[in-house]
Amino acid sequence: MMIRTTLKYLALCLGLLLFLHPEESYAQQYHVDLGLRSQKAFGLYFENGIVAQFSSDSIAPKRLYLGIGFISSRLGSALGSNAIKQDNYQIWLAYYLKKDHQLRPFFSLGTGYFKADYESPDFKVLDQRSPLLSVTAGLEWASPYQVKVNLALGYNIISGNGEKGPGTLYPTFAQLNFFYPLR
Amino acid sequence: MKTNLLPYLKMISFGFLRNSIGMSMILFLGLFLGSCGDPSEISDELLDGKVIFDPSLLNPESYLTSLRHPNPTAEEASRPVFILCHGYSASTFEWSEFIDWSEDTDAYFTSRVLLGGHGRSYSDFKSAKWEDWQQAIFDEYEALLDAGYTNLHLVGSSTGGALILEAIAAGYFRDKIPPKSVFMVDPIVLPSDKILPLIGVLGPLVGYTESENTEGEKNYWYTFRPYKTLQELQEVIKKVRLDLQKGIELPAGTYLTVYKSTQDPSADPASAVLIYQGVSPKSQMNIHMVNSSLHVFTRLKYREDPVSAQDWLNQEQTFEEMVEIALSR
Repeated sequence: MMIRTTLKYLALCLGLLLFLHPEESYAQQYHVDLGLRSQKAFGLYFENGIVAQFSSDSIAPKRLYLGIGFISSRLGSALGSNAIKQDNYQIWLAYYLKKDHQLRPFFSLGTGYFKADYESPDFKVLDQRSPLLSVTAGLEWASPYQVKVNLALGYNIISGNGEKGPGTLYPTFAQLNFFYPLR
Repeated sequence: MKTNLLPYLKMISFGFLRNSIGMSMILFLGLFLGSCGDPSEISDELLDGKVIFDPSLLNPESYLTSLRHPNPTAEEASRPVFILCHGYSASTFEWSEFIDWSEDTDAYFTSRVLLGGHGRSYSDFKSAKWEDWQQAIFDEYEALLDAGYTNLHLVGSSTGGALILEAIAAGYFRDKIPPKSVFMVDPIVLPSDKILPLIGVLGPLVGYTESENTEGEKNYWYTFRPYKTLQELQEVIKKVRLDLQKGIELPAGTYLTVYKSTQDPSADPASAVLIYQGVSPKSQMNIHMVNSSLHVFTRLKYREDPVSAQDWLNQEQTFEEMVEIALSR
């Protein structure tokens, strides 16, 4: 079940990438930013990973972005420590204001899938997986070197509360993203 | 018993989306709540007041083996002593059912420790640090060792468990006779209320939180929880979490047993996962996930909801196993 869900998400990501593949005829229509994300849950882990954002000249140009990403504590707090290994498959829609400014506020609505690995069979009774639903708001700085840096605060609407949901899925978080425009 | 800061955060987080209207709301909230430093009136019927104190303060020899039997015989000194440590905002009452269940047994002794700053007035509670809470455990542990007791067993519920883990991580037992076993009932490493880590920011706005205690609980648990004490709680559980991330090694000969409710409105059940991942050696540790939705499921008196047959069974089995383990070591 878990593998099937993971494959479903990967297939979706691949499909999006293929769809947005930089064919000549679409050269002016689509933009792809590739980047790195560092996410810190307030009170818990650093989770790091890769992200990509897509936008189109035909739909709210330079304003509306579709993003996908994978972040994990395996690339953060769990690296060389006993922290819980947990993965987040994220997909979001971001809307940027003041599109031609160097400093652009944005907000986004995201969803996805969260999976923690509690390792021992003793913990099978606990929720280790959850859908993700989040809102974030932040500021993006377009540096003179093409790289865009954005910092956001977010809130996971679905999170653990001791009675249901994974206990290591925290509601409040901060994100630091670096995006490089591929095209 | 449950403290919930979520409503405040929801107001603030939604405020971000509403720009200037939201900022005005936050400012208003801050001004309004900022004036609420402490409760305006604390009734005498509450533990927080100046009339009700934990009875161990008036009659400590009834609670502490080191005072009750300060000169044990060789046989008594080798009997198991359970050092029972309660959780944040609670009192010695939290382990009274174990005492009742034990029925004046001669097989072992019990010491019910009142954590520092607890069981007294609101202002005493407010001014205590987590190190003060922990010091009371150390005082009784050392008093027992000084008296000659050698068969010691630490029992911690909720924050009591976190304080014991912190002591192990800090190497407190390195130059002492270590406990033969450590038992934890619903130890807290991750809070169920995930807003607790924001207490440093939200605390000065809210001043204190009010718990929904039952009438019976009001005499034994604080109703009002100053944000400074919540900050202390957050500080100690964060320290324990980071210690677990690095790894906590049990003293040689100390056996750890963790009992954790599968649903818990105060200490997230994932706390047991962090303990399992962070404590070594695994051969000296056992984790029991208990089918319960109560925080500190071994305390059944004065619960809001009717106690089920399963709850009684959980309590009985846990007490029996604790004693069995202690007597076998």
